[in-house]
Amino acid sequence: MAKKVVGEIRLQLPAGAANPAPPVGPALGAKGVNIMAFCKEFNARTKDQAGLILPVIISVYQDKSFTFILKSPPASVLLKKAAKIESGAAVPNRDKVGKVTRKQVLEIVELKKKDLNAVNPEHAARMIEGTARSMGIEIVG
Amino acid sequence: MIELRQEIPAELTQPLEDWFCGLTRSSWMLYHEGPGKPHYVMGYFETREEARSAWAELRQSFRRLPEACPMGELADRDWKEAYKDHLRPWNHGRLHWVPSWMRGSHPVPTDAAVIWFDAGLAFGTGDHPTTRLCAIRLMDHLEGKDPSKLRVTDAGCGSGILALSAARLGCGKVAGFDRDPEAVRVSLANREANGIAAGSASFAHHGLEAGLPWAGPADVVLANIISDVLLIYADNLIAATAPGGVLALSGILAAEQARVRSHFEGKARAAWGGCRSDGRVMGEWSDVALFRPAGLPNAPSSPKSRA
Repeated sequence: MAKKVVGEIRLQLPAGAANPAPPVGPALGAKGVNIMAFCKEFNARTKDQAGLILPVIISVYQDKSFTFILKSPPASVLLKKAAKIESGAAVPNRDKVGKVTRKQVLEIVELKKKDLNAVNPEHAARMIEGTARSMGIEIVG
Repeated sequence: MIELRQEIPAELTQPLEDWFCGLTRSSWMLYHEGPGKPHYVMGYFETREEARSAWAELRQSFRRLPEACPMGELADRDWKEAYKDHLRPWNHGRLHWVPSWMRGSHPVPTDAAVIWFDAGLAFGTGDHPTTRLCAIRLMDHLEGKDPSKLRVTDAGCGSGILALSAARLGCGKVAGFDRDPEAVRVSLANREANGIAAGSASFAHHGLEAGLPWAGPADVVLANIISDVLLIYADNLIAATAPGGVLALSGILAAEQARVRSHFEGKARAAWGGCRSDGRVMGEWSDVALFRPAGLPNAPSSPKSRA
């Protein structure tokens, strides 16, 4: 019989660098989860993505064991990082606040491919480009 | 610790998660107990002022959130020590690991080598497969030998549980080190709690490049860290393993075992003039053991140094 899930915790943590400081410690410790076991496993699985903040969904079971799934960062965050900007445009149709290359778009597609509901890479790229335009970011190259 | 906890509509979960991902460092989490139960946004802050300011900033982007958020105190006991409720004793052969708060209530055989431990917030709670894999390697290597003649190094000692186990099993010289000062503090506290003399197990605050020379050559080198760090310091770890000794690597996801084993095997063969290796899997985790032939001196090598 499948174990009963008693809670789902969503955290956003630096890849490869989770530690028991808040919010990880209080979030997991208060639910009885072994904090260090989670940190060790999260860091091992995400060490290749250093520099990114990754969303993680942790399922806590009745016996206090846990599993977690990793998601990719939101496209808007990846686009801002690629364009080296702090925030998107308030009026995207009028204001252009940054540029990303087509190559950068494809790199974002690669990072997000498992989370995008796209039929193929070209479709996925159009979705990312749409997000970029809605933030006032131009696609060049 | 101040905890903010506000019920939110389910449809706010994803936008909030996206927003939190844009922060350099998020103090927030989202919590849901399951179908039909409410969704919450929760945050953890050092002071009430910090919490109020963080909530006001969040509200600037999410006007649907109420102006004030319920705020409560979260005692350290509630999270720093909650793990205690779920740790269980473990043993392999005569080595027994028992949480210190079970001292007196958990029966152990009279001939057992017992470590009463409390990892606190250091790595090495004793219930992780990687720690257990290392302990089993240690026990294997001691089989049929006089432990008092063996030197053991615990690289990245965490709570000190492996180093203290080696000392309790009678190993002649035991050294543990960790780059986290909190881990060294916990190791020293565990040594004292177990009545192990300072001369039987020494601990120091070092990273791998300084710690391995500090510990000196060892017959058993235990390195329960993570794959990438092990790979970077392969030469250092290999050089630290004495002839006839074993280098036990763990903290390796089972899927990474072949890559780590092959990398170390190639380097160990070149440095030692020969090498036998073995790998075990426990759940999603694994170890790799490299056995150095006896009587072969070190070949010239170039251990990694970041100094």
